[in-house]
Amino acid sequence: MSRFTEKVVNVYSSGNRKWTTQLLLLLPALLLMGIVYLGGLLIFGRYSFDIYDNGKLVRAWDWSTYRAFLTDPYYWKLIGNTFRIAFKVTAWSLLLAYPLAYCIAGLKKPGWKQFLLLLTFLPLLVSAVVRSYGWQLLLSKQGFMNWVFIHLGMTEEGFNMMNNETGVIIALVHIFLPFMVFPILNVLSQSDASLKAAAHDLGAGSWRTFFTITLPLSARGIASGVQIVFTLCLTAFTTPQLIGGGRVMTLPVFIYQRTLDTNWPMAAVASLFLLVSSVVVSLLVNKGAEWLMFRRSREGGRAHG
Amino acid sequence: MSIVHESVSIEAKHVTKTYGGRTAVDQVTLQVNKGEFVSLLGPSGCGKTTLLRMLGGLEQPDDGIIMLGGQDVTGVPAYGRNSNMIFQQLALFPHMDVFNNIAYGLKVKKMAKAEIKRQVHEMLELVQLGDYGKRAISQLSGGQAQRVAIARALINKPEVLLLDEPLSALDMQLRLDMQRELKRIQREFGGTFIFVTHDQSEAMNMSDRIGVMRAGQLLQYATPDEIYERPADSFVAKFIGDTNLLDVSVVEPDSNGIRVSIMGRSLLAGSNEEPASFRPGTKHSLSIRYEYIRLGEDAAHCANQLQGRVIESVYGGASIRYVIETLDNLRIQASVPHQRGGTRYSPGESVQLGFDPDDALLLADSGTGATS
Repeated sequence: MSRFTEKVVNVYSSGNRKWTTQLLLLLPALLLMGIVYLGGLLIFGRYSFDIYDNGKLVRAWDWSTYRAFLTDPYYWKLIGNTFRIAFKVTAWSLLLAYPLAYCIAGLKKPGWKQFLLLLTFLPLLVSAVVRSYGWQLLLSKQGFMNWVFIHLGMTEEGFNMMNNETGVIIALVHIFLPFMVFPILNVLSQSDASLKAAAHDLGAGSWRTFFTITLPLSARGIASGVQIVFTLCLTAFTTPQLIGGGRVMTLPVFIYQRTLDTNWPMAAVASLFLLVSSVVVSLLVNKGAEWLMFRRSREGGRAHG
Repeated sequence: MSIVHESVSIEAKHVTKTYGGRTAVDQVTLQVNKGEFVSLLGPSGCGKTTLLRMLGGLEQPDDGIIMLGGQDVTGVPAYGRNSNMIFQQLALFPHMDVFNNIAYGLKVKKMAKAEIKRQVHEMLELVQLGDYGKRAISQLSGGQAQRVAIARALINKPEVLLLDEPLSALDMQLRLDMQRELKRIQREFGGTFIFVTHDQSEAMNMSDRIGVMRAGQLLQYATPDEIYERPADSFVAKFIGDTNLLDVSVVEPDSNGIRVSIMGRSLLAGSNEEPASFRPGTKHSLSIRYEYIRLGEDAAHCANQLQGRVIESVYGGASIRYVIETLDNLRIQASVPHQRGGTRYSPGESVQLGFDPDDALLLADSGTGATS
């Protein structure tokens, strides 16, 4: 993401604009971010040191909530759950999105392109709640999907896809697919067709061309998509809550429940943990993309001299 | 031209390609011998790049055959052919350094690492980029990028190297340097090069043979001097070098040439073909190169003589170019060699001009647009 912002800034900064003008232009966004985001963070940061004692909040400067969160196996299972779901959703989205983006990027007729783009974009036009209820109809024991599976003879009494991880993952992949498709589509449609022709000309068949040219050059798009989808998954609340039916516990659901019983310190600690892990994941993904892109490119695999 | 038997490197036989009803390449037949440097020359959209891509296997012909090294390769995709292409945009892989760009073809062939290393360094020497192996592509200048592209293609030891206007993005000086460089590389490497360009001087400078194309057709395929001195039709004459094209009608074949008339004035013309093949009354183009027009005393013993007035005179150092209007309102341009102190005519001056039948070629009109 940071690379993307860098690019945008490069395009729009004209250099000769006065810094006061720049500041005025930035001010509304800065104020909003400053008050809502930073302010909220600070307040939550303060809460995280308070103590929750039998339904009562006690002002304090204490690490006990942190200690409780980071040492209790129950919380680690919760963290593991959240990350596992995020990982699975990201992997499935990538698997589905890449061929789709590749196909759309290769289309010559603008009409078809528009149509497929719209189709990809469509899930975002429906509210998360409505969409989740829609999935409930499809995924439930007597739902449409199971009707199909039973008729295909794949199962006798239908799969359990509601109120468990499977359902949550299916619904999340559906919602977040566009966020994976668009960044990948973006890099694929910018890539130069003559590079592929050159690889063919040098003797590489379609698969080799894909793995040595197309894929490494789309690494940036994949990285952006993975960052967006993974962080969105880590923080997803509506879908796990509605489709999981309380049986799929993820960090956001957990945070929500803690705020309900006014355990603000625990909610704050979990939130801060979520924030930090999102940032760490983004950084790791960036490094991964770099590796994917340049792994084959240096002489004998050695670092750039 | 040569009578010695030379083996054919690549050959197109009656190759045709259509895009959405438009014929891009129309029944082209072309033979390139081993070690030859051939240019395909023509205006943009004439089909030269399409022809090249078909030779390289990046496009497949709708009709016709392509032979590479004596084998029919029609329908074989680019990665199955022993030919390599240098693209107009060079198409260097931006995520690899110079070494890996050049090594790409060998890695595909699964050659041993040490051997790849040796050959890449040999190639880097050939294109004079010895220490550039670890450079990123984005760090190269235009000329260096050219050399990398050449090395990346040549390392595969292609039967034929196909070049799609690779010099067109360079500025004038660099372009001339790269022309010489390409010729040197071809000499040292000893391969067959087919070079697509729209720049006639580039084609003249480098080629053993030139194929002039227009609207999908190969109009003439011959050595540069043949094309210059004996163009196949008025389009070729106009496209290569500077020439006056006059619309004339044939009067009758003569013992010294062909008698033609323009605006009621009779002229004697020469031809590449049998004079008797020009039927009286038919319209043709008469091509007289700027430098074949003689002025003043030099014109006195020419078979064709005209009287005119200088409209414009442009000093060009070694020569002076005149625009002259004759009494019949014909506009004729002449390029006269000049030395210090030589005769110069200024605008408004009357001048005698003349040319010999051998210098005035009666050409088949190549159809619409060529003489406009």
